[in-house]
Amino acid sequence: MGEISNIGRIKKLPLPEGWSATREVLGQFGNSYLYHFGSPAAPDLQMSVFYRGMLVSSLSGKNFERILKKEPHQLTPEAILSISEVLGNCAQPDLYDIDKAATIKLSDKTVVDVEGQFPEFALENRTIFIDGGNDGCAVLEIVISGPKDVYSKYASMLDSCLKAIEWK
Amino acid sequence: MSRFEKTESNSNSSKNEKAVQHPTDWWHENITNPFCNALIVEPANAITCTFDTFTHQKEVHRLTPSPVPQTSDFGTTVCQGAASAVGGVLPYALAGKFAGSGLRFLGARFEVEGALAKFAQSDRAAQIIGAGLYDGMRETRAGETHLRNGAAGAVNFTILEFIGGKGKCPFDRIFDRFMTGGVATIASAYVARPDLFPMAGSVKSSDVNFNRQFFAGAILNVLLPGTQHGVRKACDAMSLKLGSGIPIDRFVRSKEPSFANAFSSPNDLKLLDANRWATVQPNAEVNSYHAGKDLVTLKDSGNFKALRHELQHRNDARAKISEPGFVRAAGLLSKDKEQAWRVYRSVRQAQEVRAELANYHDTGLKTYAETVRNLKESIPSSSATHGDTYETLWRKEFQQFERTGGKFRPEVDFSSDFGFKMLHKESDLLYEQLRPKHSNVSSTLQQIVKRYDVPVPQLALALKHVNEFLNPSVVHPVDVDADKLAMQTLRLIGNPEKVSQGKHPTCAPASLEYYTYLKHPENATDLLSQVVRMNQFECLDGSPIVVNGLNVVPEKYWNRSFANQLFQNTAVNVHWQRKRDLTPWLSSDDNVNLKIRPGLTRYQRQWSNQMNESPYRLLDYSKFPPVPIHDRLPEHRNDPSSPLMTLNAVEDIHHQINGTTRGGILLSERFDNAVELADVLRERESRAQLPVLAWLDTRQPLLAHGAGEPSAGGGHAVVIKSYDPKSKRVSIFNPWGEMLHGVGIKDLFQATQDYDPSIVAGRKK
Repeated sequence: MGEISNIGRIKKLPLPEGWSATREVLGQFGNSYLYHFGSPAAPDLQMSVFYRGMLVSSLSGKNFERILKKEPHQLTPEAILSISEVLGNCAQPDLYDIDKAATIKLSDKTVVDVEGQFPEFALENRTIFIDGGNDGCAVLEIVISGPKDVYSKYASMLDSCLKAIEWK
Repeated sequence: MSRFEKTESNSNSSKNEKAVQHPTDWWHENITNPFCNALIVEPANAITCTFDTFTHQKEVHRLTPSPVPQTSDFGTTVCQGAASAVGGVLPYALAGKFAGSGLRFLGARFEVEGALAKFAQSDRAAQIIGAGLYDGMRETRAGETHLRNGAAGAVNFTILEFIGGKGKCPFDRIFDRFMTGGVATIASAYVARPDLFPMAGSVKSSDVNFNRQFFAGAILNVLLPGTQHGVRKACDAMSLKLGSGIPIDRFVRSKEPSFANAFSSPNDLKLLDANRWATVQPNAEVNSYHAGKDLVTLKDSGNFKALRHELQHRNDARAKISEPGFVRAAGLLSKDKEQAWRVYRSVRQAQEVRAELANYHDTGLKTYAETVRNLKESIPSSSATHGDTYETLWRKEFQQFERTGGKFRPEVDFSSDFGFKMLHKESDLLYEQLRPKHSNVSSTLQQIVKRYDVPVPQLALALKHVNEFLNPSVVHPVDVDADKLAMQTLRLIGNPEKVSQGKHPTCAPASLEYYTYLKHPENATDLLSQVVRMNQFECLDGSPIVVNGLNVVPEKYWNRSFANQLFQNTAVNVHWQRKRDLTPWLSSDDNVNLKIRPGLTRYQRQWSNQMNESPYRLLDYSKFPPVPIHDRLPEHRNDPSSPLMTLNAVEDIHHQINGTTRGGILLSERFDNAVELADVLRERESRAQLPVLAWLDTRQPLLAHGAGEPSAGGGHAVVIKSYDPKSKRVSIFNPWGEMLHGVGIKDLFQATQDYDPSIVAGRKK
């Protein structure tokens, strides 16, 4: 079984059977990196690890930290607004339809978990937002994205992989 | 100072010392008398003595000095010296002032230049000469001559002007001046009375009280700077009250540092140099240059733009540039009055345009031509003075010109805030148009008006271009929310730091965008206006740049505004659509076809659902379907969205959008050390050649942060906005959307170096 290893705060993240690294885009803006993983059996579905290459504002970072420090909970609209810079496109109502936004624990680390759709592209999406260090201002993302039918087929499998994540 | 004052005889004084002295008598003899002697008697006698000498009379008008007793008491000595100093400082300061006025008069009369001009304007030289003349004019005592006294005075004040007063704290400075003054007095005593110093280290006994002279000189030197300053201020105040103005070098020095900084470019210094003998009358009714009085008047003393304008008028007047035009107009008076009027009018209009262009010395060719056009249009209807427009003023002048048969020459040239009328007009139009949907348009426009760093006509032009694409009658080729784009553009004009590259590898064009909004906002908005109205931008060299398709559809997912998007992708296309080959990315050694067809290589946005990757590609449209340029570049195949920008490419784009800039807009890429970098920045700062674009490595500590992998970063364009040579710190615009203030020169230097992971690994070990 393949795995993602040593990217940002991620020490190890197992991949589903048949999945491997497909493409990487490094330093496109800021110190960004973007690693894509997928399977030939489901070419339209991809999991990506993304760092946007620059820090968010210290206010957004503080809000992000404050939210992560609490026990796992659903995010209120006000909380989503307070970390809109962190959530990026997922916080834009004209671009993204949120189904769920909450903090969860993945292997003892609290992260923000957002699920929804990009209606323009008919893509289901789940993005995990991780505090990559630096006071909540360096945001690492694990992005799962694909058309609805393919996404729902692999959703629980990918969820199990996420729950087996190991952090540095 | 009263170095060699006559005192009462010793026999009388010794008797008096033993008798009990009344306090009032003591005060008179030791304080009042030396004070009055120094303040009134000696200066009066210096003038009358000189008069008597020239009229061959002997002490006809002399005043008798009040008696000052000889004393060996230290306290009394100090009091006498202090009183002399307090009384004597004003005559010396006045002597320096008069000498200075004389030097300036001669300098202006003969229009001296260079070192001689600097000498004539020097307050130090004036004080030394003034003191020398004053001491030379004074009465001589036994053993003295006028010549040696004058030389002694000059030596004394040379030491005072050039040495001392350099301590770190006020007490140190005062003590420094005290000691210097005392020593200088003794030194000048040697010049005046060398007979008193027969051998080194010994002094002949005489009626000279060296202790008193020492203290008098010491205290005078402490009081001197303040007195000189007070005398200068008083004289300037009187000149201003009389309406005769103050010398321009003193006027500029008297302004705040912000004025001096705004008036410090090479062209400004050249203008000041050419007008070094001008006088300026601030807080006047109007901004004007009066040729007859050779006087510049300023309504607002902080208005350096008006000062430039009027100094340019002065230059013109003294060079008589307009004289041939006036002569031609005079010649036409008897033949064709209407033509004579047109010639006269065009001469006056040209004078005003030339004067106003003094505020545009750093402008590129593109802006220059358009600015001249706009000035020619706006000047005649602008307000000149007392409610008259320039057109009305010129008409009135022409009547006088006619009456005098063409002999009349206008005595006074005025300046107006030409651009403000246009700025207000454009601003009002924008406000009316945008207010219904954007309630904050007023505050946005206010921010623009406060861009004092940009000449008003440029700001007016910038708004005019926004109005162009906002005009409801304009049909846009693509469905564009013009109001939203206008607001984004106005925010960028008001605050260029809002420029961002978003999630695109366009740091270089974004840095150029920031530079353009900072220095030439009118060119940025002209670009946007052309692209929105015509899907095309015309370069300075006339090349048409096509900007269409998804390039003119607002992005949603990539974190930059539509205004940023249009500027940046047009800028990249300005470079690539004019290229004919793939150098420097390939060379003839690579054995591949380097050629590309101009106009058919485009940086074009593709449809994409990858929201974390830039959707732009460099495509060769000479093929069908279009082929990515990166396919021909083996080293860049994995980075297909890169616009392949070098700093030289940015300079090329800058030239096509903004014209040429003195000193260029790029910082040389390689420095051997931080000192070299600091030297270059200091030089640029002193020549007003900042901001400048620089290439940094994002893996170096200045920009590396967060969860980034060191390998993810690389070359990155930023703008060094300003440099403070005192603190050796810079302010940097980073197109990621941030300003970095107070960056040390060493950190900046390190950031310009290529990142070497082996060095970092070595440090970690």
